[in-house]
Amino acid sequence: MVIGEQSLRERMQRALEQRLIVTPLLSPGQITGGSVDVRLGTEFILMKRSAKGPIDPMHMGSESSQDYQERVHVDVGDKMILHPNQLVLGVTLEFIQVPADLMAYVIGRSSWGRLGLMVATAVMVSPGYRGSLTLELANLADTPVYLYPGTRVAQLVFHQVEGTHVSYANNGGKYTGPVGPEFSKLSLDQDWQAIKLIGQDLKS
Amino acid sequence: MDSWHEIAWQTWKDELSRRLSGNLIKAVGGLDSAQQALWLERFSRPVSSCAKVIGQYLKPLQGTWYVAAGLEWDRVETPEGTLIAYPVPWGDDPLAMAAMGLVWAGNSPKRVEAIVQKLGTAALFACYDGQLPYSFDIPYSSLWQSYIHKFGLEGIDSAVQQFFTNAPQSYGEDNWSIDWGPLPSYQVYLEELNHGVVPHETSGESPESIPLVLQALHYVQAPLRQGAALLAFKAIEGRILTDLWRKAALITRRNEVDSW
Repeated sequence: MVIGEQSLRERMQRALEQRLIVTPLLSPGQITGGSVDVRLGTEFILMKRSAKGPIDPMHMGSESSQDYQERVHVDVGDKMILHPNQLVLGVTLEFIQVPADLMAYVIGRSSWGRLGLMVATAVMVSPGYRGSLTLELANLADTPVYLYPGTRVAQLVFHQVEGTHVSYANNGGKYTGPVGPEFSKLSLDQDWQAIKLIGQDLKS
Repeated sequence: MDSWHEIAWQTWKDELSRRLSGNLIKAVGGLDSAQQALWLERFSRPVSSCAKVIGQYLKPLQGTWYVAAGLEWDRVETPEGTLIAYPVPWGDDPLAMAAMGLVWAGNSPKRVEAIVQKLGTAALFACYDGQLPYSFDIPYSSLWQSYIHKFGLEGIDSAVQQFFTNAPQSYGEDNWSIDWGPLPSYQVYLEELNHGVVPHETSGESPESIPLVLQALHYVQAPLRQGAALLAFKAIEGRILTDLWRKAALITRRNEVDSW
């Protein structure tokens, strides 16, 4: 069930633990119908061509990431160029807290999509998530496009979650509480241990 | 200029100067050679977003200051403006960065008054959270005495108390009076920071008062303090943006840009 405007606003008034938080809302019109418009934030992680080697998701560390990424700040009112086939990690201007009984989908605005801009691939926001949302921005067209922090880039559509569940924060979610874009933390997945052991077994 | 050493220094200085604005080049150019090198190196480092935004928020209506990332607090007055360096490791903490206002103010009553008007009681706590050195001619004693005279010691950490009671009295501090305004009501924002979310109003707007967010941040205890600084900065940035947005919406005089 999609949560409508009135219910969204009512949930924003609740006690802190159960509250739906989307802040800062620069204008009240960001909540309309059954969705909340989110804006492009000011922090970016630019992906570069590595000079030293490929990304190994099993062994990613902060020391190696300097080789293929660069953090950039772009003020509202300023702009950043996104080249064809370039991937940039952006972030929503808004910080979000999703109540434990809701989840949200991130839907890119079609107006940007028609320019070739893909906004997000990880489109589900889990119940209990807290933090700004990292956006995977990619230019799929053949022409460079400017990104302007502060523009509305996506919508959040909230849905009711039925049954019992453990919230994202209490479930050891890897991305709890960020206010800027975060690079992949795939190396923290527990599955790697099993994959390594299977690899050793097969070799012996 | 004969030796290759001197030529190398000059080349390095010219290279760093090229990245500075005209007024800043003038300000640095008036310093002696060693100070020039020190400040050029500081200005070559990126200034944190937090230091930049807090600097803009505090910036005086009269006078100019330039903020640089250094390894310690420092201040130099030049005819073109005040050069202020802040310690890089604290660059993401808005309350510590608010201390740059006190660094600028020094022992000028007019400047201190302007900063207290901007920061309220957070001006006092900025001195502590920014760990300002006693070598600055800041009226620590007057700030402290006037604060406890008005609000008492309730809620004041012993470390804060020690910081101010150990501070030497600066020159001409005897007859200072500081208007702190009313006791700040920051509990809501403190609760939000301790809960791990960006301080906000239930409408989704950023808090109206930046000083209250800064004051709340002072009371967040370790180990949450460093993370809370990022959340508090997000709220401050949000308030400044919202005000700019509102102004822009008014200027357009159309309904197309909606605002609070």
